[in-house]
Amino acid sequence: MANLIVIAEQRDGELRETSLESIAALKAIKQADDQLAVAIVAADPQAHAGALSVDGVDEVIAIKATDDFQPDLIEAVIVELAKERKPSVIAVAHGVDAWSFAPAAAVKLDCGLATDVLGLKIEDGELVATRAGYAEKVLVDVDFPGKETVLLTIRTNVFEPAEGSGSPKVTEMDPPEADVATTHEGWKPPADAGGIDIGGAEFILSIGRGVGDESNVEQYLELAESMGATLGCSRPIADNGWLPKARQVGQSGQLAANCKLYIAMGVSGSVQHQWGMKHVDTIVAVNTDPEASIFSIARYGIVGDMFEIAEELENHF
Amino acid sequence: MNENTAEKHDMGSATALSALIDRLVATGDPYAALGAYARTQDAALVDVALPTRRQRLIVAAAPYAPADLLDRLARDADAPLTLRLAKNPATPASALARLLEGDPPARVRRYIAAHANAGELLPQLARDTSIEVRRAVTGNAAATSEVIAGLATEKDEQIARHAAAAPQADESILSHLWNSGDVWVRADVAAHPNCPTEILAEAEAAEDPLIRRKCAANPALPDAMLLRLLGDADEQVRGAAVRNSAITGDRLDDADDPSAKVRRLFARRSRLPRALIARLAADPDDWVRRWIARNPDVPAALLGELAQDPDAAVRRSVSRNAACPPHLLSALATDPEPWVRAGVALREDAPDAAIAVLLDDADHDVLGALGRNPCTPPDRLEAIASHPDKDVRRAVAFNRAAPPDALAVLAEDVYPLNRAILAGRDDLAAQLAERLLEDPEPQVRFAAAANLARAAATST
Repeated sequence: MANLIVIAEQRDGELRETSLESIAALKAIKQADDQLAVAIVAADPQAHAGALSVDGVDEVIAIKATDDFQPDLIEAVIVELAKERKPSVIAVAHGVDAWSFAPAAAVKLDCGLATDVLGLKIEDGELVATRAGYAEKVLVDVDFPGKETVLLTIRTNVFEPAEGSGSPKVTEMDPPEADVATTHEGWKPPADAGGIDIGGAEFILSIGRGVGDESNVEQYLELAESMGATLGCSRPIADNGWLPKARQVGQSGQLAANCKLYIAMGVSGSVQHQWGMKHVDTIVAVNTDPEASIFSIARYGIVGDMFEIAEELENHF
Repeated sequence: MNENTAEKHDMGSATALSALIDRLVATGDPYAALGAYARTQDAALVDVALPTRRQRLIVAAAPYAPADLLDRLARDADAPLTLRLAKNPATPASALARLLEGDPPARVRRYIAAHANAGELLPQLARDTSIEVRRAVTGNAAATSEVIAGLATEKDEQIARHAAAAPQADESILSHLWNSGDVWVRADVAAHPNCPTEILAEAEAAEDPLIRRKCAANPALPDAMLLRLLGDADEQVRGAAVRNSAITGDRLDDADDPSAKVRRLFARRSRLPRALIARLAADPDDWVRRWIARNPDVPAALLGELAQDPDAAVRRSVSRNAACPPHLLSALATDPEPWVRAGVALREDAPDAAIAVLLDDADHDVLGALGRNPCTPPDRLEAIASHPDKDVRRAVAFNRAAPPDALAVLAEDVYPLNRAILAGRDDLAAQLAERLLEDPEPQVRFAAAANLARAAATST
């Protein structure tokens, strides 16, 4: 029997769906006699027990502390649970929160660590985690020889959130002593984006420098609307003031977190832009330059004029 | 300037340039050396810019690399270097010819055949044994009509389509393709400006709407044919005709198309008759009004009405209309929708009062637009250069009227891209360029060195 532990995430007292995705990730490798526990640190952890009582969860560990995000506290919780329960796997959601505590906890525990994991399997009784490598160009299988415990940060929007009701036991745990070195200043809501939601959009039509001029931008807004897509753009377009910054995809912009189909027209594919979209399953690139970087990550590529392609698309929608 | 003064300036310029080159050689920074080489072509920088094989590979693939440096790399290029040079759009014709002399594999020859600088090599490549290479030749816009004619007779669909769309394809080539090609080839022939009139007549009457649509898009189509296609039963054909720049807007007088998609295209045309503009401005379709609100031919009174449109996107269009009068810009500066206000903030011709209203705006798009606008007061630009949002701060780096203090703030920006854009400014003070030459980010050092080299070479 092995112990599997998920560290759930809450923000400002609201449980994050990433917690259910991490549960789903560990459910995928859970064997018949394994125990899956979910730990939640919050001001009122019991309030989240119901939402975490999904199919496959055997125990909810309620740790009453604070709703403020304190990475040192979460790190201490992971270390304490690892020492007490000797889990084979601990999973947390991959994101800015985990970056601040997961590597530190792994060092303290001298355990295995794989970040941004997008697949898990058991091979010959050993855990194998899959993550992307070389700028998402290859998939890398990572194993952890000799490690009793492995800490994983799970890529979001990959595993379907766990569902179905379960009836786990709920236990309480005192928050461990933590050398808290950070101060929580409060949560800052994202700026009002005027109804533009690049992060939530499943279909994005994006334009880049190839659009040439502000007067040409409007036709792509019209095209995106007729296709049922959200219009995105690369940095130069937003820098010029031709589209709102809320539409900018990339490192200096938004992450197309939920996108399933991304059509990039006249986008060269700078590193900054790829940061926001290279994870998307289906990328279609349109560019006159056959050597544009965007083609290296596109599933489908069209070497051609973005205006001609747009005109053809307009005729079909 | 008298002769002695000019001589002194030349000597001063040469001294400054020499000092910069000595410094870059001493520091051994390949990126800074590359930036300076682009301006000076000084041989002393070559070994610094290309110190290792890795660096040579990087430069061979860099579209910003100077042409003569790429030419130098082509002289003794091995297979990986050859491939990168063949793919690099900045590689000059001389280097491509050198690569071709080395008898490279078909993959490399295909890249050369598609290269924009390969014009003189295309006759030779048109005789290549590889079909992929010959296809690339026909797809190259630099291919002459002789080269196209030689290839157009091949029984290959891709070559036929490329040939039908080739800018230099002449009437005889197009006639051959019209008679031998499939529907896609014939459609491209119908759209070609060199298409013979008798073929256009056939295309205009073609049963397939694709061919009629392509015919309607032909920029050399005679007026009579275009006017007939404006009345075509197919919406897409009418749309292509409305887009066609061969007909001027004033010939579209009687248009009252039942399709909103076609009316949107009308609204995008210039020189439309007044009555048609008025009709389009009152169109029930939001997109028609959005387009006409951007049209610079719309009279001020009508723009005033559109500036009160319930759809904020229409009001945004008015704010971006070059003909929008000052009093409307002032009114739109207080619009409840930030994206409309941002449209005004971007206007260099906005009245001072409108800019003044916007100075206290907290919206990031408005601030970014003000950051780019040369009419924004210097003290406000300095404040924007210190804004917590890196995207807002960056706007000041693009502003040609940004004061030195604001630029000095950006030189310390924690976001590397903002420093890189600053380093690329033509008017960057030497003191800031010197500071950025020590930047930890290679792209910043590249731009700073290019900046200093240009200034040293042109100082008077």
